[in-house]
Amino acid sequence: MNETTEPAPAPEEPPRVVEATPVTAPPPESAAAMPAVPEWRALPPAAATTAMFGGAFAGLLLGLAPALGGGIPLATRALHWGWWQTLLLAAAIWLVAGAFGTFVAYRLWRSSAWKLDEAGLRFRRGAWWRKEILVPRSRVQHLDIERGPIERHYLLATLIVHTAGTRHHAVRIAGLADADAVALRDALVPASALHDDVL
Amino acid sequence: MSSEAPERRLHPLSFLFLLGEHLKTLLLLLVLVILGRRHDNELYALVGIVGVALYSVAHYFTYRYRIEADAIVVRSGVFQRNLRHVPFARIQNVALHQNLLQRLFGVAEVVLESAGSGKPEAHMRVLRLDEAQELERQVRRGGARPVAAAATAPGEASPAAPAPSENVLLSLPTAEVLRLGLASNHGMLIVGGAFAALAQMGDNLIGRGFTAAGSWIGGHAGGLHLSYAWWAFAIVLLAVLALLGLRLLSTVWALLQFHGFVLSESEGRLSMQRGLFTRVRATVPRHRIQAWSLHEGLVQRWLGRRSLRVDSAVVESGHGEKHALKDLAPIATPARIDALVDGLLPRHAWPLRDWQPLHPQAWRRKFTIPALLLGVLTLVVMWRSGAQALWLLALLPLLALRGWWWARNAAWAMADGLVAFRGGWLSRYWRFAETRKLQALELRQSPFDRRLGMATLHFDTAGADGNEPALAIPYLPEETARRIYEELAAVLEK
Repeated sequence: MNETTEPAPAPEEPPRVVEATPVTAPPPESAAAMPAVPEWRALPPAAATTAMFGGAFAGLLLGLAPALGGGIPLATRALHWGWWQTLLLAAAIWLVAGAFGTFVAYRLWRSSAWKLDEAGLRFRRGAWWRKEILVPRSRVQHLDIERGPIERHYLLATLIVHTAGTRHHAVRIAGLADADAVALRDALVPASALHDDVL
Repeated sequence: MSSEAPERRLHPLSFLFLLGEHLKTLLLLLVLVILGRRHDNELYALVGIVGVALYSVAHYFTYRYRIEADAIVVRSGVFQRNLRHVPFARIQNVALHQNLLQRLFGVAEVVLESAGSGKPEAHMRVLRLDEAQELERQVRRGGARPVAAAATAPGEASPAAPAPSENVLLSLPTAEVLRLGLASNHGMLIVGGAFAALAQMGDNLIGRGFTAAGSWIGGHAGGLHLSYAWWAFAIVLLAVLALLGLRLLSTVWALLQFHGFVLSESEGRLSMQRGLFTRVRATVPRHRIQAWSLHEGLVQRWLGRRSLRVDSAVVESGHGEKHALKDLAPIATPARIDALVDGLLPRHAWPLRDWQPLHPQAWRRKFTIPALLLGVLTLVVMWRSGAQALWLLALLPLLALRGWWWARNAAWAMADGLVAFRGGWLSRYWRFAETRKLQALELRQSPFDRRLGMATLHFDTAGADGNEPALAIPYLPEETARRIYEELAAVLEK
């Protein structure tokens, strides 16, 4: 809607104080205006860490089944291995699953990006199966910000954009820099007050 | 006068119906207790029933409602008191529900639903029929005119008679309802449901039934010394009989559900009523329709009929009967349905003219994966039972034909504030929505999409029905998909 009267922050290095972003009081420049971020912005590097922790955890959890239910019977019944070889095989399968989970999480982090332009909030992710979601400003019903303990430690936040839709009734963007999440929320809020009756 | 409108109560017999409702849910427990054959258990059951009965009576004495100028106010609750203020403008659906018993007593259940909430705003069990209709009329008017004559002439209105200002859009004579049953697969669902219920009962009833039937047939057939031709004939005969039986079930279902179907419009609200024994009446504001779906099954096409369903923003609560108005036209001729849709759309854009084809390679997407699956199946069967399995590959041309046919029929269109997709091969469907009703857009690309330069567009609407095909345009050329995506993005933000 407006042609960026003040220049948007550079896409590569978001200008933000990493040491002490007070969660209660967002930095004034973000509260004043986030008119548009017309470039695709990647998630901060710290988000890769949290995402990979999560991916490793999920991979290890899901890897339990093939490690115990697949590896152990394979080693003892089919291959007639000893107990320590069996244990080694199960551990190997388990670790491979964890590594795979980490890898997938890393790829997802690297492929994730967001953009706020005149059409609304765009979020894309996925390296193999790619998707790009657009939530027009006028369709935002309300917004949530979640900060888990790990995210809090890395000064990250999850933005949840609620719409009246069915599949995308809640679009989650995890691993945003805290300041960006707050700025996005503030930029998206007023629209819902203007358009009352979109149903 | 409107703010100090008199408080009203439910029908004095409402406790009976509430009790019945609760007993229905307790029925299983009762059966268990009776089968348990222990006398102290019967005592507990008695305590339970008395408790529920007391609760039902208390419910009647504590449930009051008041119709104000622009809202309905409901006071309820036995222990925890509730005061609920529901503005008429927020009510999406008013459903009237009458089962046979309720019809005998001249009462009806009323359910008021708003958008998005899983639970109804108010569920009144039960009101006198004329009061229920009065309430419905009030909601339909948005409470603009307070009704002076609420108390006059009770009991003279019959459930079937629409109000004089109503404009009937579609009514189904019995012949149409029979056609509806003939074209419906609902008999299969009923049989499936019966099987599921039997399976729940335990004791392997299904297995024993099949074994008994099998040995009965086997015994008789063995005595007859049939030749191969006779065997084939018998199998075909059995299949035809089964098909006829299923269609008969479907027809009975259609008669029960859709007898006396009338869709009408009045003051911007659509209302529908139907049902042979249990009468259902539901209304929805015309502008609350979120998305449309048209279906044309194979039998329907032979009969020259289609069906029309809509999504409204009311989210169905998972349990119990469906109140929302979904079937706008369970069966009608294509011309009739097109006229109906056209009349209901604000810009009168239906039927759309310029349908665009999908990506030229779209048929491959419908062919490749089924073909690969068939290959795997063939290998497995071959491993089990030898080279005869190669006959399965004869299905490949059929799969190719299906893909080609599907791709020839599939098309999308975007014009006059509508976005639409049509698909299917033997049975076809059209799925469309007004662009201003879209809530979010999604552009998706799988690795297969990218290899062929395709993309899939998904449109999210409120209250989308999971049983309907998704509102999406698959297998578009990538740049076309991107173009539509950006065009819609611009439209939505306006």
